Amino acid sequence: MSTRAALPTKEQAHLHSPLHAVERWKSDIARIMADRVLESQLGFRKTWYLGALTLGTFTIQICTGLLLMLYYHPSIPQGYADMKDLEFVISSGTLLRSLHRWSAHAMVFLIFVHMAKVFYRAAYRPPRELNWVLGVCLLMLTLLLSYTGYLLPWDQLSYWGTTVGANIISSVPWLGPKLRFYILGGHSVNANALLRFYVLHTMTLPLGLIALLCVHLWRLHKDGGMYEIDGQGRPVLRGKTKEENRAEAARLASEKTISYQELLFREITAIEALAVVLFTIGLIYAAPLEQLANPMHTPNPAKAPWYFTGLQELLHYFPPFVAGIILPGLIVSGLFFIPFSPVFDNVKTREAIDWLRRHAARWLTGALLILAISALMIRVHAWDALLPLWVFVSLNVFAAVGPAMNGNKLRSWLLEKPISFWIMTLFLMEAVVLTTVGTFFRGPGWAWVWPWRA
Amino acid sequence: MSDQSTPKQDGDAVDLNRRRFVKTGSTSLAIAGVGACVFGLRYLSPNVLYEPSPVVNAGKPEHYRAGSVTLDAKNGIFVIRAAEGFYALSAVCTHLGCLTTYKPDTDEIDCPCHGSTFRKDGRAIAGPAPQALPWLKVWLAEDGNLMVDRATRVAPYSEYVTA
Repeated sequence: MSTRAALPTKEQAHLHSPLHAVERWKSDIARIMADRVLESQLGFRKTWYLGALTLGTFTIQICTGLLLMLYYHPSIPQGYADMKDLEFVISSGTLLRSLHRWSAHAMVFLIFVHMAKVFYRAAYRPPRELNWVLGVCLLMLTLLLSYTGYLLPWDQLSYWGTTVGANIISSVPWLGPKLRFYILGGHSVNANALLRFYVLHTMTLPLGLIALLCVHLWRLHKDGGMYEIDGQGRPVLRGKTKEENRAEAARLASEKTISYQELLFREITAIEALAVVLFTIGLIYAAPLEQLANPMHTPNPAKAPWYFTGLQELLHYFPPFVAGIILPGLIVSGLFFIPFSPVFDNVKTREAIDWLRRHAARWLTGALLILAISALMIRVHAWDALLPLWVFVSLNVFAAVGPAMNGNKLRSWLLEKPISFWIMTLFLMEAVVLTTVGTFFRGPGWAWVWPWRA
Repeated sequence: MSDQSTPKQDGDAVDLNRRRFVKTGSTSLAIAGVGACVFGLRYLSPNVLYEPSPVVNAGKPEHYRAGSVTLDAKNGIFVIRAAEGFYALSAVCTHLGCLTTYKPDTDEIDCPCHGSTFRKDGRAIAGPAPQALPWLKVWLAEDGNLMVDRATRVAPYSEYVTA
């Protein structure tokens, strides 16, 4: 009898009762809700609620996706027939599919804006490097989800979009063809590929995304929500002088703090508003569906969804390995590197840049050299890929060349910017220019067209 | 917790045991992980494929007009009857695998995806295509049909089939 555990006392039995557990959970939740945020952090202007809105679109994706799975068979040509059934036979089928499609577009768009907003508000700085890196991973997972979901309707665009994507993969030297074979489960886009993409789209990638998302949200909470706090939990002051910092601290101390519930309430309201907008769009515009995938005919032009047309535009100029692997790889590494770029903003780099800037001739030669090399690399006719680079170089030349800096606000503002600012701005400019050209100005044979004449 | 309940003189032994356990455990886990990856990778590569044969029966040679370029879209090949004889080209663009088409008015082969253009002999003349369209092995079967092997490439201008 001595080995047997003692029976719980009356008091302990009370601790184990489900009612007590519920009480405990309630108080835990209440404690989280009692967290307070500064009044100025509540407003729409600080974050545009972009993170919450992205989470909202992802929730819509999961709900509509789970429902669509009830009618979808990942086989050829049944998958396409199921699309037709959703459109013509199943109650609310078109709405669900449209909602899934437009919400996916909204999610990609919101992630890009979220990233830009976080960057320009400098919310990637220590201690938030991990959350920035996680965010870049989440962006890539989202793009992969889009790409894998693109094949499932098995229409013309699905088939050829995936064929092109798979061939980009096979352009990797040495490993490429093998990699393509593993991903497609065969030599061409066929039944095996459809099944593999289905599993990736409905299980592997969403589970990975949810796991990373949990860490992302946990870090957000740990890093102080929307505050920028130091190690002691005090808001970081970014004034240039001591007086400015003192005034800022006084302002923060006098500012009202508001319960976290208020923020939650606002963000949920924002998500609901977005859901209403997406529902309305889904009711008015049905998600497009082309003809059944036909390996015997490539549509002309075969365009990717808008967030991949920038890549397609690059593919027009570069060999696939450069446009599809090297450049995206550089972009992603650049994004990963952003929180750590102050390492390169040290005294030595500054001195080197100052040495360049002290003589306009040196600076101009350097700038022209950069431009010439990139023009050679990109080939001269790739003007739209070069345009942001031109803007980038001329802004720097404008900032550096000429008489005294003081007096010209724009000039001194440009000169102050760190390396990370230029990486991100160049990336965003390239993304906007290439995506716009690829989406609106390209017609059959990827030739230039004016959108109002098409 | 367990440290506190263990007598002091045994503390080192316990730590050593634990360290050994962690060491052996992680090593065996790593070996199992590598093994799982190897088998997993082999599992991902299908051993049997239900894909069509690479050898295509292109029909009787007399069905092709002299000087014609005929696209067999189902199999992704061009059968071309030149003055020297028959040859076959892959119709799959060397850029990113779109299906090209022959344009009689320009006498060129165009890719609709990224604007590559090829000559009738396969040479790439414009656009992003990195290589020429490959020449494929062509022969006459015993029954007089023209056969094309999509999996076997031959050097350009090296082999013609005359019927």
